[in-house]
Amino acid sequence: MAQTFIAQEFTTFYYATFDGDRSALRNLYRPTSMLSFEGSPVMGVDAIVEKLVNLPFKQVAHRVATQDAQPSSPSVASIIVSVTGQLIVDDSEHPLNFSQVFHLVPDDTGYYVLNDIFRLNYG
Amino acid sequence: MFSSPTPLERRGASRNLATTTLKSAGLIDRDERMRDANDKPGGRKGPSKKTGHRNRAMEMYKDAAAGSSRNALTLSFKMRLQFDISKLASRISTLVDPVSIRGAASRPTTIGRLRRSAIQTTTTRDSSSRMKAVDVWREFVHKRYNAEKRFLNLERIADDDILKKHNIIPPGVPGNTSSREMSVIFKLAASLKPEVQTISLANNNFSSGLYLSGLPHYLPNLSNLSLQNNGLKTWRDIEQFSPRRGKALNLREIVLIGNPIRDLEIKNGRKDFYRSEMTRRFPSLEVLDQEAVAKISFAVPLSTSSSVTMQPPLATAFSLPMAPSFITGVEGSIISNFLTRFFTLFDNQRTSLASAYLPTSTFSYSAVTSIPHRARAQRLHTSSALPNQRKLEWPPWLSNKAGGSRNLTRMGGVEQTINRLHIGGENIVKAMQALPATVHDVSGNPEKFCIDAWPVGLGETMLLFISVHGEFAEAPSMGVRSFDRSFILAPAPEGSTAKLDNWDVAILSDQLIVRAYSSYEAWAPGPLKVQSSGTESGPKILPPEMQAALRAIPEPKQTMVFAIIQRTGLNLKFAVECLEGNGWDVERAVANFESVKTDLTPDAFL
Repeated sequence: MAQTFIAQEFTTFYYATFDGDRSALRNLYRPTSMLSFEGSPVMGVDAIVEKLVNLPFKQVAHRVATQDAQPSSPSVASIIVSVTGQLIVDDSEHPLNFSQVFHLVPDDTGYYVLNDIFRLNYG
Repeated sequence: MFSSPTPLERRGASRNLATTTLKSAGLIDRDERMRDANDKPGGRKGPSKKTGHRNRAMEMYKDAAAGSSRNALTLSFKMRLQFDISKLASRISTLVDPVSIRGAASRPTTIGRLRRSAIQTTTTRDSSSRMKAVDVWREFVHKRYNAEKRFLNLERIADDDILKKHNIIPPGVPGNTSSREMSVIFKLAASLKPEVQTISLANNNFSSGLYLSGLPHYLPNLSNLSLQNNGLKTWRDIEQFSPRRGKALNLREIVLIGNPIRDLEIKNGRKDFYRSEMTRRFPSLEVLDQEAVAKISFAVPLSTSSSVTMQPPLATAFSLPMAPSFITGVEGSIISNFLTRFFTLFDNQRTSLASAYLPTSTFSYSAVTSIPHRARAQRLHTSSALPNQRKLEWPPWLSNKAGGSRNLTRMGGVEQTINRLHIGGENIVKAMQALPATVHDVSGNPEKFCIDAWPVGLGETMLLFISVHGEFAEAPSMGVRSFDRSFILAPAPEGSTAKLDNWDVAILSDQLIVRAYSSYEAWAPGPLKVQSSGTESGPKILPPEMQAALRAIPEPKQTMVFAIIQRTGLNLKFAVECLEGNGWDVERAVANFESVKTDLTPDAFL
């Protein structure tokens, strides 16, 4: 069940980085990565980081409520991770519920995000 | 559902549907049919002479242009505001070209319509132009629309040649106080493409807000409205189109220059009162009478003329737009076929889904039992409109023969983690059978589902990544739950059970998240709605000195102040100020707070 540990480590790291310095998320994406953020697609590490850095809030904190992970391919050690939680933006008293699905794929240096679907659409 | 490949097409289709519906309904019901000249045997007096109003229009044009540039300059220097204050005014001034408006009637494009209309029932008196009144209005609206600027110029309706030609009595002229024509115009305007953003109703002699009562209903997304030089006098007139009773007209800019309601207040030195009354009624307003709206204080004196209690806004927007489904790089029919078949079998015959999975495929689910913030504020869990919600129970999801919810943040140990991941078709359907029975409305409203999907090249195979958000009814209570479901699909391998069972794709990974119901409206395109009630954050604790000061306030004001503190998070001083500014009306105070809260400094809060 290695993928569950990788997934947990990944999400912890991902959201801590996101909440601290979004531009550092660069290391987790590659030129082939694709992010669909609330229905708007962004491809490639540069565009993805630009999208994330320019989101309309300064401070943000993610609170993970649930998280699940599965292997996603019999041939490649890829992992699919589903997360739900709350986004607390600029100390707003109204958390935004989000759901996010990561498709993690290994390369020489470790796992990176090949696909990322983010939705603020629940709740 | 799932039948249209892209959101764009899907939206297009629904628009077409709406248009068709409107058309087949003849746009207006029989009783809504417009008054025509036959209703008025005496006819009407011709409007002012051509030369006269032409001059007026030209003067107006000059005035508006001069006024707008002056304002823009002053404001951009003085206030350094980011938005373009004079947008509406300048748009209008550049677009008001009386010559082109008048000349349009003879454009060749209208001939086809005229000819077609000629065989329809005559309702106008003038036999030389045998058109139904609604067709006249349709021609009028199309002629007046500048699609490029998304600007509908409805100025000086009475002077329009089309109406004169067909002897139609326009709204606003003496003898026609009906709001029907305007509603018809707004209804026709609602079908214009692209969607109307700006309307000018300047110089129409409107002495009642009733003419505008159809506006919020037909054009809820309108953002700029000019009513310059009309006869609106009272707040009741304004409230005909202000956001209330669930009809939100989120106007960004309004011009009321040249209306008694504004001009009298200004003359009497009560400009601040007028402006705060307007911004209270239109919380989304950014520019009023070509001046930016300052959202900084509670300076809202008590309104004595107001007959309508402001509803507190249900939600405020967060500046992230919600977008519809995003599907790319894959034929929509593949996704549509797969999801339709999958959910139909999941609802009716879970065992037969076994063939869709490969021996290595995985399925797991997790349950989110907390009620989301906005859903709670909307009381979806106790709503009388959804009586079954109260009968829903979580235990069938949390503990069952499938091992239960697999939330990795709350797992008891490695064993649980393993037991709750189901591998291979047989095990997967066995686990699924242990879950409550469901009904996904796959043939119903496609808006109820939100799908993100695209192909993924991984290793040697091309996979398909799908994420679906939606809702299902759960047996036995038939209460509604929301869900998120992610699939990784691969083309069904030759010789696999999936291939043999006519699945185009096999499921490699299937992850389900079941959660408390939050309406699918949550992902309706547009600004993200953030519920603005503090219901979930628990009672706010006051510092001791504030508690003492609160107790010193006599009842019933003490209770009101406490309520405001609890609902807004304001401190005692500002809560009192807010209530005083709103005539000790708690709902109005909260509404006022909502409209200014983003501009309040931290020292206003607890």
